[in-house]
Amino acid sequence: MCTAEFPLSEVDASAVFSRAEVAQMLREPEADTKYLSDNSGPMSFPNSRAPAESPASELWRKRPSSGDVAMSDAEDDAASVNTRATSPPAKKRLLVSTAGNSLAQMQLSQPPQAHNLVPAQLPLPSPGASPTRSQADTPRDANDAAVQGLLSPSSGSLHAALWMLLQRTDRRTLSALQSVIRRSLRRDLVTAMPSEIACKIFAQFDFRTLLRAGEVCRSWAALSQQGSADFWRNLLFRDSLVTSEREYELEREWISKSRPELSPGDLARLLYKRRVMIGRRWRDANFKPKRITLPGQGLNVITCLQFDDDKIAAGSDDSSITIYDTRTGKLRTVLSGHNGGVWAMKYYGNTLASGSTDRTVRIWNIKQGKCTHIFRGHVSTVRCLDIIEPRRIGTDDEGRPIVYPKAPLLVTGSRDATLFVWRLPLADEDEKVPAEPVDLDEHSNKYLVRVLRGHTGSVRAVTGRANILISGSYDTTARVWDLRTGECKFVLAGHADRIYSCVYDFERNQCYTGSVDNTVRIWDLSTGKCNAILEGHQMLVGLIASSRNALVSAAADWTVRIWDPDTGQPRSVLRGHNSAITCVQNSDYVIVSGSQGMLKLWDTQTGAFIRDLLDDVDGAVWQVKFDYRRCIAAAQKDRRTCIEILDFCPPGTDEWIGVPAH
Amino acid sequence: MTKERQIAIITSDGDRFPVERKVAEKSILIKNMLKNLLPVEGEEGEDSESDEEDDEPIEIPTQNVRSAVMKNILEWCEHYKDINFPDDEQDDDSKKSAPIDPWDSNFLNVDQEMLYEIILAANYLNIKPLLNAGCKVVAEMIRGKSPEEIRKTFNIVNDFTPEEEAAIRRENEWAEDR
Repeated sequence: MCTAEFPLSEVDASAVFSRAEVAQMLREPEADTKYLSDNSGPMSFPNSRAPAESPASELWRKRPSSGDVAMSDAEDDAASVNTRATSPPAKKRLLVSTAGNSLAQMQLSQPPQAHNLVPAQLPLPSPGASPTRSQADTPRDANDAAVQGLLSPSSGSLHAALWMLLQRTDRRTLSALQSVIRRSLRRDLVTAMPSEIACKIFAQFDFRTLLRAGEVCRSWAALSQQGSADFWRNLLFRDSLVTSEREYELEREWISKSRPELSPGDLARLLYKRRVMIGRRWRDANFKPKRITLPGQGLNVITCLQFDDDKIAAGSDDSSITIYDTRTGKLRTVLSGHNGGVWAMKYYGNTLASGSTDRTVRIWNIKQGKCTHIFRGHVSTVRCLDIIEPRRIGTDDEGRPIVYPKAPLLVTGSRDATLFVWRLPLADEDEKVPAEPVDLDEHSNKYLVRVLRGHTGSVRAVTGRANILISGSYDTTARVWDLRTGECKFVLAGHADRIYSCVYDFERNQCYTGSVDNTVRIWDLSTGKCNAILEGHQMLVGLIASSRNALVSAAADWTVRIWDPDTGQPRSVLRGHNSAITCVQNSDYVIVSGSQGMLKLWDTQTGAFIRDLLDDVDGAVWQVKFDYRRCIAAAQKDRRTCIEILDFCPPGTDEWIGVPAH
Repeated sequence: MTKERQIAIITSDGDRFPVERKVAEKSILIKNMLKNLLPVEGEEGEDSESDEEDDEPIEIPTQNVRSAVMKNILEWCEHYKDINFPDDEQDDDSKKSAPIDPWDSNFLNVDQEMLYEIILAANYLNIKPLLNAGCKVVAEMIRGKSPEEIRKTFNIVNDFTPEEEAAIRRENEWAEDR
């Protein structure tokens, strides 16, 4: 009997049909009850993997297995079904002969109630789609007529009839049918969706897929246009090509000035393209960046470096801080006043904070080149500092954002083993700065918020975000503080020697510490436990940097190493330097590292060496910082310390912006 | 009083699915309906209702979802019934693009038609995480494919003129060469 090998006979029809329909089937005489209750045959479900409770749902939700895939890839069309089914019994032939037309038509004829969701007529896939079914269709022969009668939508028994027919069909025919059905079920899902859902789908694409989607057809092109501004903007952030809203807005404004005709979507896409193209120049050894060398006076050590599109600030052990114009390299101002070397510095807008061996913290108005405040309190060298910008840390009961801190905080760490938390006095560009700075001792300083005590050794590194602060110390521990209360949440103990650097990975809620004990450790900030000890470096790990996809450490053993920030597994060892690494920075795309006489560029993803960025430096490379376009280094050449500016997008080479698209 | 009132979802084709409240409430649409129908116990007024009426299960019609789709939707809701999804603040998702959950990915490994209906139903019923997962699955079907491969996957006819196509290609060239 053909039913013997019929897989559907075992299937609980209710899994496919609504109960009402099943009830109707069951009311039909003999056939239904017979097949539906026939559980005797050996049951094997060819395509279902798991012994599911309801095999039917498995069938209808086809999980791919090797057989399945082959089937769906088979390019058989309705015609080949006929040739495949050799000499089928009459009943089968009836179904098969109509497979090309009626079946395709009936495939998705829904019960009338279900029409809300699915268009009544589905566009058929194969070329020469069948004519749409209508009551007026003339049956081709008697068998057709019988089927038409059975399937008449008004009868309500369409599903039952189909079910019966399928139940009497052998596996081979079913298999052929399946591939026809599968193919005919393919359709333009995306255009069929409401456009806000289609946009949600497009928003998932990477940039190449997004562009290719726009090449598919007109309606897809329209969709990719529709949400273009958001898609590209999100991609810029997702792909770490832009790091802050401010950066994005500034560049957008700048491009729209030279290309006012562009729509917001085209503008965002152009911005993305520009970033990608500039990124390629870094990797192209034939592209020579524009270089500006700013020679210094002597052999001072540049201890800290920060820059943006407008200015470069360099702190020096000669106790000064020098400000340069980023675009021209012109010296703007020298901030002098410290009585000892500057070893820590950071600016926020026009306000710069510095820490020195003279034990003071100074606040400067950069534009006016003047010191506005002197904060006293530390009793030894101020070795590290960070400025904590206001961030949204959550929402209150009414859904309003909670921001912490309310205004920027300055945290300074010292050899005296303490950390001081200060409110940062913001320096207005145009304010009147008194000739003499306000000199405040610990007891009279209204800017002092609190002192964080606990470390038993010099505080060497500090980093924070929102209410979380992490400090690394020569006492071999790092501490996690809550700035709101001053509470020490965790003491991260485990290193066998002094900690030189720490990085806070906010997104992973963990932090990384590098130590003189040659290891890097990953700490879980929800528990304070050490998640991984990264071993491999042969000498002290002085430097750590991280980006969304990579943790990078640099050591005195001449190597830079890349680690998986999630697992701590080593990814690459970057060899090529021939002395201790003195500075390092990375992005998701590249790593820049410096050592005596060398400044090297590496690929973050592969660890491959890309190029030497400076080949004529003969002394130390003290500091390096880069953004998407410029690399700024403080290096020694001809017995002088220089600031080097390498610009990968100098004026006149922004062809993507300058040349209007056709 | 102590017994929780029964809830049943009625599909467009007349099937009736009795469900646990927390399963049904994965749908924000239904959750809000229930909020109105079943005020929190102890609030005034409700005691006067007769007991028989309280025993009546609440029937929630979903005129846009047919039985076979609802079955899938409820399987998803059942799986996640003990998980609290964060209220949709903003679309943080679009910035970070978390990979699709393997369970969801397997769950949504259905034919295109069912996937389409599940996505629409998730949208209608307001089940954001399922809607997001559905969109990710569709995006995954497209990712990395050439335009021609995409057309094949979805049976799309290329309705660009050769000139238009060439122009778009040229415009997009920068993305293809590496």
